[in-house]
Amino acid sequence: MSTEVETKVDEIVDETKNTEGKKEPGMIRLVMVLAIICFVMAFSLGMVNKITAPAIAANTELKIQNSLKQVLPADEYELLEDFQSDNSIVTAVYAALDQGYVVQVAPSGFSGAIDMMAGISFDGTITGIAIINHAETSGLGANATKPEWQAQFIGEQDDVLVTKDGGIIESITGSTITSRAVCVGVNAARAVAASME
Amino acid sequence: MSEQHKYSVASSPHAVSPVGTRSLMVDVVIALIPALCMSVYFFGPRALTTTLVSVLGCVFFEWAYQKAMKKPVTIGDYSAVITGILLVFVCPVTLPYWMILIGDFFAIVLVKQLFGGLGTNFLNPALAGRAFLMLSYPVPMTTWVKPGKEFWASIVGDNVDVVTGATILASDYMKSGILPEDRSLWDAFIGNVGGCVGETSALMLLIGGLYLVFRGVMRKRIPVVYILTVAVLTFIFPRGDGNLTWMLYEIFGGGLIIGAVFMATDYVTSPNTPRGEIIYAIGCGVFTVFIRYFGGYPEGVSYAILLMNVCVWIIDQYAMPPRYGVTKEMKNAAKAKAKADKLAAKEGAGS
Amino acid sequence: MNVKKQFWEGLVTQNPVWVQLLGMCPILAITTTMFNGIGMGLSVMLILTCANVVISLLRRIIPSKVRIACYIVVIASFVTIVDLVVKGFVPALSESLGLFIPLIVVNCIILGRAEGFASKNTVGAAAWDGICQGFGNMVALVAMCIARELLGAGTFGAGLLNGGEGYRILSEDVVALGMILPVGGFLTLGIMIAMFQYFVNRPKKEEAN
Repeated sequence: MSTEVETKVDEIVDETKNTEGKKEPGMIRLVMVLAIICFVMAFSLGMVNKITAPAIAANTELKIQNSLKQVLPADEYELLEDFQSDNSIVTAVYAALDQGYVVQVAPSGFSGAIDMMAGISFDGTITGIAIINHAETSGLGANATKPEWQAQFIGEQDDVLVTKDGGIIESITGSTITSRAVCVGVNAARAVAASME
Repeated sequence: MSEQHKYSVASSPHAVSPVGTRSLMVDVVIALIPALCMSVYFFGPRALTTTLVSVLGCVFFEWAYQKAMKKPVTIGDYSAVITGILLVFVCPVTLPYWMILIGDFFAIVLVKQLFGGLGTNFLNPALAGRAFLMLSYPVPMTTWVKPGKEFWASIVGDNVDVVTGATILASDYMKSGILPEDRSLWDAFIGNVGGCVGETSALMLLIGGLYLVFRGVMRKRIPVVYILTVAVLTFIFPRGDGNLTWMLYEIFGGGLIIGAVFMATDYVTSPNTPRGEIIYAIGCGVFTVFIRYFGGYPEGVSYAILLMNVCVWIIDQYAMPPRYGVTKEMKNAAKAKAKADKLAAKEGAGS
Repeated sequence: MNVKKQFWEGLVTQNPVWVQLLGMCPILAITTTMFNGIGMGLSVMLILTCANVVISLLRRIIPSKVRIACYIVVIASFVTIVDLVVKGFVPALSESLGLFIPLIVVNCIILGRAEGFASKNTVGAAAWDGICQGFGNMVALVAMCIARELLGAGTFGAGLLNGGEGYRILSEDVVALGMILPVGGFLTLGIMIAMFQYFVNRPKKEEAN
């Protein structure tokens, strides 16, 4: 009980101190305090940024490298700036040293674009696909990220279609639209890779 | 003391109708039986067993919750039975029994009892149960069996090897603007199409609905306006060949009839005023067509009704009928007076 | 300063989630795996404690007219620092929490405690308050995570235990996927608040009688 009384007394003392300090501060004081706080905080942010920036850049690079390695293993990759494609879903093309091309595409799926990569070897064979970002329905379209489903693309030498459209890709149960979108992305990647030679 | 026993003291209402909750609910159960028979004919005896399991599940959960919470047990009013039947009627026939029981639990305990039981739930329990199942088990909830004796699902087992066939609203057909070739309008009308247990047979559902109207149990406004709204919208804006054909497929092909006749008319979760009923039904119709045309799902009836369920309170506030004896002139005069008073008060404060 | 009382307030009687209902956005959005819950809980605890300390230190200097602006600058800076650090050194957490770390800026717990507690109390009390409230928040987050992860994904401790796989308790065919969707967040939170209020308020009623 006594401790509670003590805190109450503390609070009262605090309050009286607070009111003593407040003599309607002028405009200049308001601006000064705010400016100083902003300056100090901005300075500390700058310091933290200096420490973390290289680590963040390394992480981003590592993520891209991992996806590239997953779809088409090679010793070195080079981002190609001058690829030609009429297809607006192609977002980036990487040349995989001595192996082929990795094409980043963003076909529109069931809800929004599916950001994915497809590896195409020089002879037009699909070496692998990876989905980087998507907003498909969990439990249905989101199953496109499962390696078991993606495996059926590997080794295909021709344009891919889902079974419903007369192709060989078994579409994900209940998600024909997502499966079609992935096929569209892969075909666009193949077209770009073919035009590079 | 003895004087008081002669007169029973009670608050209003004093007029007691012989039609109680129980007799209303029994009528609804009777009205659902033709659709169940048709479903057994097309989808096999599993339609009957799932319905029985679901009814038993709903009654059990209601009884168990009320026992556990030491509340009066109300399973005798048959409302849990109807929830059980309706929930199965909007699920595929192959849905495993345990999933049905999860849906029952969700509908009865979470949607109905936690909000105070029959009369105070703000969502239709069966539809809310279906919505939860749809989100939780998307694949089993969208696996449809082809109708016909050779495709009957077995009563036991998980039925993984059934012959599947899409509903005519699915992306193979009407979602992509294609009229189904192998299913005639007559098939869609009598229920010879893939779909949920009880939603496919428009004919039998309409017979049930007519029975309810004949018994004076059902209010006609909501189903009539709901179906008309969908009909008008799909007739004016068809997505395939032929306005009339397209419209009829939209009406008979999905869950519209069961939704309009048995779900949207639920007493607890629909408005109580004539104007409110019309606003509510138009809302249901518009949302149904919007979801079917522009939404992700092929069928929009259940979500449309749930959406409008949530709006019922506001609709009832807006559509309150005028008090007896109050004319429009009196209302306008009162409004004008209130405005003048406000102005006067403002001026008074200003000076 | 009352160490025990403040701790009990943060954990039970003034729990930021179950009683004050502050910071609902991350609670509903990210409580899908135990990894997310602990990561989010620790981030909020760290930011809350740092912001409380700085604001308590400056409580005599900050004029009341610009106090909210000052608090927000301080809070936003700490959030950005945590965001950068997480991005740089715990990339997996940054990937699964995504936008919700920067969004801690607008989390009401932090501004609420700055305005309601730190600006009126000594530095020590404010620091302890940050830790207690942050801990209460984390306990609630983790409880939500465990419930939703178990029912929605069937695992326990995904991303954290058993080499990141977590322990599978329910089969993938059985779990109710709805529980890890936003719907499940609302359901779990509602049921948890109801149960918590029931158990916390019950003895009080008996006393009153």
